[in-house]
Amino acid sequence: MSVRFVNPVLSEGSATRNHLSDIDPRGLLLVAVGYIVVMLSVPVLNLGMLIWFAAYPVVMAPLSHIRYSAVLRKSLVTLPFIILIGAMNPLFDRRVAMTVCGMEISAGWISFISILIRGLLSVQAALLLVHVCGFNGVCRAMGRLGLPSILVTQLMMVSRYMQTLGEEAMTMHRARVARGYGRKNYPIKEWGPFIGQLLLRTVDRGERVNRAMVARGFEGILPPEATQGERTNAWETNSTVFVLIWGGVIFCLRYFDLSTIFFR
Amino acid sequence: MSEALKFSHVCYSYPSAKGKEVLSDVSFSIGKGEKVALLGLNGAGKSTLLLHTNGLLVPTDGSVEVDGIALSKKTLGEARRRVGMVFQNADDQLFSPTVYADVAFGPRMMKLPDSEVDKSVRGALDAIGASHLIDRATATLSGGERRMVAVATVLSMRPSILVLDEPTSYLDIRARNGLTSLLEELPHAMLLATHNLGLAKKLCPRSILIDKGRIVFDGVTDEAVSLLEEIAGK
Repeated sequence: MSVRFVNPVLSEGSATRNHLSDIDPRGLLLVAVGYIVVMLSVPVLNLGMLIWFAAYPVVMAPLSHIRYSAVLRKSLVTLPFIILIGAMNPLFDRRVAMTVCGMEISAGWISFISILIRGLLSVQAALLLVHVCGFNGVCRAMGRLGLPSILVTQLMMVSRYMQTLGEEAMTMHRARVARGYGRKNYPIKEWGPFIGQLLLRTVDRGERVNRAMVARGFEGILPPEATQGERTNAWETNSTVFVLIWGGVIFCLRYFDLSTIFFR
Repeated sequence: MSEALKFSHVCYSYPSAKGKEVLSDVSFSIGKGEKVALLGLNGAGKSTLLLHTNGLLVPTDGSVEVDGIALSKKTLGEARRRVGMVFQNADDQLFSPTVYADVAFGPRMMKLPDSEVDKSVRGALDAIGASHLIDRATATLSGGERRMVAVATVLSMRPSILVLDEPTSYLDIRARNGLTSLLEELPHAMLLATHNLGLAKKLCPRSILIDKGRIVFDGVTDEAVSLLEEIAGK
């Protein structure tokens, strides 16, 4: 039997009810996307304004019945990729942006830190959204907001493919460890065949899954309706209030520099 | 007895096999409610034959009929509703996050209204005695539960014939007995590809023995098993 890759917390949707359970997933999606877009539009060197945007995940985490530290820990997984994106900034942009205790800090370093914060906050917002709605719930919310069903299906398939990839990687890893005589690391020359084999196995498995879907009538588009276990709330007043409150908060964070106001 | 499934002179060769036939002149029929085992050694063509039952593979020659409907592009949807195919690896069959979502997949593809979908899902899980699993994540099911739910995923489409590929593989003795009793009780016609000769004997009075893509015997299961053992010993 193949080893199942059990989805970690924050990827399948919260099983228990929380304060956000009655909000329409479309409302949650709109707020999350709005938050990310507005947060990314903050001037790159304005760390004072940017830092206040952390309020969103910090407030949303307890509302979703999850500790913020868990969200933070999970988001740190993406840190290496975010560092890669901004790593060159300190080298290329050496203009002095500020002086702290007589020490000059270049604009490159500020923008690097800014990219780190933006990256982590964006990931945290996405994680919280998926935690509340489930990935399929988010996809269906996109569909209900007018995204073409073929794209929604593609997104859901990509998610499923990633899961299959994880399961196969785990199976291969265990098979290797079982015959690895205690050797923990993979020699570089093994990486090529490992990844090649992993992709072949995943394609093969994907074909079998697809076959099972086709055998049950799948013709390229997943059903638009949510199924039990996914959130199906209709848009009600609480969703409107939720969007308006967060819309207002996000607007204030973007257009009023709270750091200047509080620490003038 | 009217026919639930009929193969007439079916031949098939995989496109990559350069004309080498995996199935040669395969003809048989299964009556409504009849349970038939499909026996053969590894590579004999059992799985390829099963994939023809609902048009996942199209014969290079010959024809397949389900409930009197000849398989063609036009009739594929209806044929797939009538043939409930349970694959060898339940992990491949269960691709949705929850049991409910997976069992509901087929009825939703049939575009049934929500209330009907719900009824079908509950009915199917009830039929296999797994109503308590309805809200479970598929990833957390045991091997036996997964196999039972895999059967429910096709029962929810109310098929007239069940096609099962190695239904008892990976199962422990308790799960195997549970599944065998379940299959015994189901009133559907069944085509069951298996290496589990005990299961074939218990469940199916009739067996089809296939070797190198050809049907070499079609008759009483005990005789088919003896012949299979003879072929295996060669």
